Amino acid sequence: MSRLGWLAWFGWCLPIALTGCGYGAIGQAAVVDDKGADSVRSSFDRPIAVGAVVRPEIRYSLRGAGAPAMHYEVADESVLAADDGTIRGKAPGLTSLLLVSDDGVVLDFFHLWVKEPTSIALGRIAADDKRIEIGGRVDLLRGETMRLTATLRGEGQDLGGEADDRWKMEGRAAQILEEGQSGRRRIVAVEPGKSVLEVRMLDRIAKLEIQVVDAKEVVR
Amino acid sequence: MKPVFPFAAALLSMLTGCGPSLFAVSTPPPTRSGAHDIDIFDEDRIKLSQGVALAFDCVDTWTGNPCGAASLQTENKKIAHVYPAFLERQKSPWGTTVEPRSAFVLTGIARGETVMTVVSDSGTRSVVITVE
Repeated sequence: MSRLGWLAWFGWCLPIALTGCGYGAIGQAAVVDDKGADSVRSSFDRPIAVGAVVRPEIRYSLRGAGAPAMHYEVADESVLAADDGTIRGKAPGLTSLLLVSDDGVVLDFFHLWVKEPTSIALGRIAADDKRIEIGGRVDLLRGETMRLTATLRGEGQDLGGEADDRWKMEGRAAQILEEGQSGRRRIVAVEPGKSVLEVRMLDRIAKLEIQVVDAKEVVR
Repeated sequence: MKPVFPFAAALLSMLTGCGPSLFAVSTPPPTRSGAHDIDIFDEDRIKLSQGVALAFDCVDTWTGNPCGAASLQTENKKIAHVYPAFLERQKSPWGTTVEPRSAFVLTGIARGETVMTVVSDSGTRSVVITVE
């Protein structure tokens, strides 16, 4: 750039840089994630799994204005699809998700990654609603319950988004109870013995062996 | 004031076309490109990766005020698409008034090259867009 070009740059950009404000892409919107870190309904703090759906909750930071009537638009539609307030991972890659007012003005945007899921991670939900990852085998006392969550992973990284999940229990020692939320179930230890829990999401499978014991056996 | 200054300003104005200037107000994400090469004597060039969006402020080159009645479009919307954008009003450099901003967001749709034309009260500027 020429000397005059630099002069013009400093002349105009310095005041803008000094007076401008912002965070994020243009700093006027944020994604609210109040569903807990263990939830499969995560927002944009992790890549979205191919085949999974995210329903982001957007909070605007527009002084003197409420939330505008808006919709989502996607730059690269081979990576993400936006429809009716939801976004769905289509193929691995990166694209921008634009928050566009219904009269066609961009209010803010996010860059999002989409990643292929390679496995499912099972986690136990603790009393403080935190996820404690488990695997292999767990022992339960008869009558004990355990809340579980299943999360998609891509090469070891937690992925976001809701996906159709199927939970199946082999054996009668434990049973599955619905929690009314995708990716979460409650396991109840019914009688002493062994059961195997199988969770399927987007053609990925995770298994967990559950051993139910009687309290008397433990005391002995 | 020396009489040579208005003459020089007029000459410079003719040389540069006195069009609007664009300044990026966002950055590309990690591992992706989004570079704006400013050239006040020729066409600006913007290179960005497919899927990336960049926000720009449009200002009058000589006054520094936001572009008046700006309109933008790309020749090939299948390569790059430009949207008008809302950027919160900012205080003037002297902090005395609050000015509306003239802003837009450019998105890289597919690999290729196209030209974006910016038309405002202060003139016209063409920007070569390369999506890679």
